[in-house]
Amino acid sequence: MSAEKKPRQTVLDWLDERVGVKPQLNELLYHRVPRSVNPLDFLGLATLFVFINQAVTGTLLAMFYQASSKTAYQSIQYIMTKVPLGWVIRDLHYWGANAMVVLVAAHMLRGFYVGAYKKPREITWITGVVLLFITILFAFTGYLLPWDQQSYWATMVGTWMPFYTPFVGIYIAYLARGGAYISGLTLTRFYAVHMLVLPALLLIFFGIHFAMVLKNQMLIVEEAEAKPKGTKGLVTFYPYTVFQMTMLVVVVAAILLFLALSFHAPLLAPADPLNKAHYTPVPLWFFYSIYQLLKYIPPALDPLGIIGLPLVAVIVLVGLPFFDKNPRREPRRRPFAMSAAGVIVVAVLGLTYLGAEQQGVSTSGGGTTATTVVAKPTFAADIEPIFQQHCAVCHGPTTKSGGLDLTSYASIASMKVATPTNYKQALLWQKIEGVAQPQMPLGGPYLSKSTIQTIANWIAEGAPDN
Amino acid sequence: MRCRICGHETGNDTDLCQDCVERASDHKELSRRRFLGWGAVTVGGLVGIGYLGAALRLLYPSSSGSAKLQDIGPVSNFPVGNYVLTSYTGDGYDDGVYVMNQGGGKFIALDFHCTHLQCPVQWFQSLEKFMCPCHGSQYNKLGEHIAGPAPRGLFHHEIAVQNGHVMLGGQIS
Repeated sequence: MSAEKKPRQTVLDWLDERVGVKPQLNELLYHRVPRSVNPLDFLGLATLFVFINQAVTGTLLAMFYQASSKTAYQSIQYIMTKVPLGWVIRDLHYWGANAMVVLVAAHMLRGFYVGAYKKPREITWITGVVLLFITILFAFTGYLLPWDQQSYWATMVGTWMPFYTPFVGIYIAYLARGGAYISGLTLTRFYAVHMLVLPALLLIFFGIHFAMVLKNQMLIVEEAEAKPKGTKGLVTFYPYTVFQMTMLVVVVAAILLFLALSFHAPLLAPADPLNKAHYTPVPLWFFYSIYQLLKYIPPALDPLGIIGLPLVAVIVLVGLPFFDKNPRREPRRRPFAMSAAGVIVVAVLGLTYLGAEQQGVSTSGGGTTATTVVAKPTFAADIEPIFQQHCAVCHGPTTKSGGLDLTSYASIASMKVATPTNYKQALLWQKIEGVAQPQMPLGGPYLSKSTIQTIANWIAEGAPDN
Repeated sequence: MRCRICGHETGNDTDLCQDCVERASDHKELSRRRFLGWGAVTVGGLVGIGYLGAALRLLYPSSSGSAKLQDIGPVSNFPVGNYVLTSYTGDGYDDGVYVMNQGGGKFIALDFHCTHLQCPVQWFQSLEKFMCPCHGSQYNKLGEHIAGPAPRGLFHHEIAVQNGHVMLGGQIS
């Protein structure tokens, strides 16, 4: 009898006799699923693929990277210039890291929207929240490794945030840094956490997350399985969904490659603990919202913004399946949950956008590098963004350096710094041009010639509020 | 079958009767089962705490405030009344420190990390102020907080003059 079997079948039978998962495997491969699936239901798979990208490119980078404060920067330069394809691998790792944060967040929002955190999927949700924090820690620890000005100072600020925790703050900060300040000791501990601790934690929690998805099934599968066999629009998981999944992986890989080839990961000047070039620290982009929020709340509430709010976020996210007792899953039947989440998402996105604008990431006008002069500038479109980006930190509503608030038209007008219309006599122009000392923005970088001319034109027009 | 503890008929083919099982799991009585169960948890927990404690001891940095004084140059390098940015080498790190000769052999040394979020502050002689580029905190000539979100003044470093040289020490407060 066995002589009639094909060799492949013989091997499979031999395996199954020992492993014994044939029934489960058949159930997995041939369970019924809808033929057309919302691509958003594949976000988890997209995340998994990007993680595999991170593991592969990260392993390759680790073979060239040298984790010490003396060699880290040079080894990144070496990877980018000397190692064949090294720059592509680094860019893929960089874009993969950003994509992980975006995809995990999107995957979570989708899970929230379809109510996938409700009974019996609570554990899937909670392990997913843990995976979100592991992803953020991955990004935070990986950010330091190039050891340039950006990574050094962002880590200096980031590791000081726990300082605002009552009682134990300073101990957490010193423990994270391995000393009073960022040093080679911080670099090696971040490297160890990035390479050993976090991957192990991620695999453990992903294992539970994935096992729970298999055990409880995805919602769309549950609904499909409930329908009688042969219902129109239903297909088997293998090969239909498997093919769709492969297509998705191809698309995600193509996007990553496009980003890696088009926009390169930055590498600024090497870390300088004395900051002789007066570099201004910039937070990681997914901290922009907190960074921006800190500008709006009074300083006394800083500990609430830095420690309290993230803590509340953790409690709400982990506890969501227990706080939300509404058994309904349809978004229309959950008006409170949906609108609360909507407000939070809009607030976070809005603050992130404002924060990015302040960093000059996507600002439309008025950067130090602006090369075009606006002949008839308007306050709202051309002038205010310049003030917001270059002056507001010191001349803001709470800081008011020199008693001057440059963030609203009313206060600028009342200070009479932009009059008379012969702009050369206006204090504002004299300060940014350097005619009156000290030149502004204090300590530089100063505004570009074209930006200064745009402001001059606005003053010559009578500094209108238009 | 008979119960192997009390000798009564168990009513099935196990050698423990229901009464004895219940009595064994009663909190007041420490059965062999409970002893072994809790023993395993306790021993396992102690081993875990041992590793955790060792890890924390290894990872927590030793105090840096009492480090020995470092020579940062002769007194003549420091003009009276203006700050000079120097560097203090701590345990593996370099720390920016503003040092000023206050005249009459007196010196002041201020750590250049803003106490809000540790951005590097800059000294502006014309304004007689330290200003932070991140969130606009400001400090006066003595490093006292005067504006912005910082919770306190700049940290001081130990500083002394020995044999005509300025000696800089670790952060004190």
